Amino acid sequence: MANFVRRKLLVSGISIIIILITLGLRHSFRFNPETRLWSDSIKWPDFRGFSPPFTKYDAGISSKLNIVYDSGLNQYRVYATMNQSKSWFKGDMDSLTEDLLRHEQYHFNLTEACARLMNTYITDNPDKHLGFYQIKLSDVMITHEKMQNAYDTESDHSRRIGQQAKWEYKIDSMLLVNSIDKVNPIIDYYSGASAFFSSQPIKRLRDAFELPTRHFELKKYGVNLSLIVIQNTEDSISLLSKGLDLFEKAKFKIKSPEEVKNGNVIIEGSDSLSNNYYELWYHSYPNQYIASVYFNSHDSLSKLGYLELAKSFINSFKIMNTDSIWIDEAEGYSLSDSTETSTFLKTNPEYKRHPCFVRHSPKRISFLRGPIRAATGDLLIAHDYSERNDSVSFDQVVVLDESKGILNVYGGNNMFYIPERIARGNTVAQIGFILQSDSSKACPTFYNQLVKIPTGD
Amino acid sequence: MARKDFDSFDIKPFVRTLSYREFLTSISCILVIFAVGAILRYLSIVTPPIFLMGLLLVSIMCSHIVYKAEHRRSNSFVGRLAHDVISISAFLIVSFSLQFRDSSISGDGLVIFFVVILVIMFLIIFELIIGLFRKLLFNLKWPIL
Repeated sequence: MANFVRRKLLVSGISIIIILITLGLRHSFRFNPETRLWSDSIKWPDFRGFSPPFTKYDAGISSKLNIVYDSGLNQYRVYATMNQSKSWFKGDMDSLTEDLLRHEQYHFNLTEACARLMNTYITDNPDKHLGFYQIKLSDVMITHEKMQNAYDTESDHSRRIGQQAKWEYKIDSMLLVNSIDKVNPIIDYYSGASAFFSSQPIKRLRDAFELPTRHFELKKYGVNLSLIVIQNTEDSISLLSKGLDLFEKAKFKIKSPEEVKNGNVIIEGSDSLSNNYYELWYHSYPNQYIASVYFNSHDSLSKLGYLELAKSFINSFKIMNTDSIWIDEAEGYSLSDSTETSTFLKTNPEYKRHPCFVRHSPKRISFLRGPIRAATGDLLIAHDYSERNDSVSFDQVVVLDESKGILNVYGGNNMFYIPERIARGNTVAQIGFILQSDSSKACPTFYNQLVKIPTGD
Repeated sequence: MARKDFDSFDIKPFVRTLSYREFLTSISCILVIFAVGAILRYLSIVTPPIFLMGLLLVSIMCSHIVYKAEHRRSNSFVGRLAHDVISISAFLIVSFSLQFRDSSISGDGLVIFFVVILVIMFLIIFELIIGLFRKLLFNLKWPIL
């Protein structure tokens, strides 16, 4: 009978050594994995593992979801952690690009987004046992794995710039939607325009074509996302014609002004500076809504990614009726008859009997919401003077010709309030402001604009 | 040609000669496939489950070859089945201690029971196929196995 014991022991020993060495290499020879909780600013030194041999990639991150019981909150919480021992980069850290680090950061962000999704589920289904949450966690982990793979595949590990941008927008949106404070899409209460910005946009102060404009802008991902609302003057569609002129110069093809005037128009094109546009123009008198995405791409694959991002942003555009929000806000202020006293007239003894101020010729100077008729019949007109002139203090004034009433409204509530009995009989109100610096003058300048007062029907 | 005992249901020859060597054979064969799997995984070469299952079958076959070489006779049908159970047990022990080393195992007892039953059924079918194939070769006067 042959005896292969020695050979078998030798084979077993070699196999065990191979297993232990590869296992050790995979864990960078650290018995306890080094982990860190999610943060949005990981650095290359956080990648402490050995790179796998023969890999064609420059870096890799290992992140996972962990469920633990939080005794402070008295419930389970899911945390995203980065296993630093299994996260690696190849070569010299100084030679690695910021783009690559951002790509890896978004892998981690995706894990955090899934952790937040899971925590939302736990909050919605409190006081359950661990097994209950683990069933859901298994589903989330499968989705997480699929998304991580899709992110790498579609962005080709950050090499396809447009697809990378799309995924960054998508992951940021997921983070935002599942954040604790549940930030909603940006809603402009003045215009009712709403769109989903993946992070807080900048509010731009500008007038388009010398017309009051609300403009929110986010420059990120190599893309310029904008939500613009322009308020037309009462008697013109000058904006449209001017806009169409611009399109003409930019070689856009719009069939007719009516097409823009009547509603939705999607415009796709590029200008002389190779900026690509994808815009939605929506007209709803008196406002012209423009949801716009600008990007610069030189190859068709990147353009495809940017276009997907643009479509996602534009699809999030909505117009909401925000009247109730202004009415609710007005209820928070004690609007009484005393606000009708024209204090600046009282301070000018020479003009006791007649109002005295220089009426600047009416002109659209502010973006307005309203007039909104409250349940009491009172009128509210929201304006954005303070946003547009934030360095200037002023008195807010309403002049009603028919009733000879002058309302001097104080406060920073960005709202004119006209009691129903004062507004009655007037078809037009002159609303505007007097600069604080002019208020000591005998006849200050009244910068104003006209607002039609709706009938009480 | 002498009558082969590879299709015998007699387990006595296997039990009579059963010693630590059979266990060592199974363990060493299983360790080899784990070493191969570990190398492939470390090298980030995609290893589909069917490939790993194939490796397991090869390892089981190797253990029978070693048995034949050691004992200078083929194992009986039931003996091979018993040896397979030893190999599968070794596979489970090694995989539980390596594969799931740092991850919690959560599973339903019933599921595990069904998996064990399925594995045993798989082994019986596998051995039956091998046995039939060998019998076919024997009848064809070409007993290469």
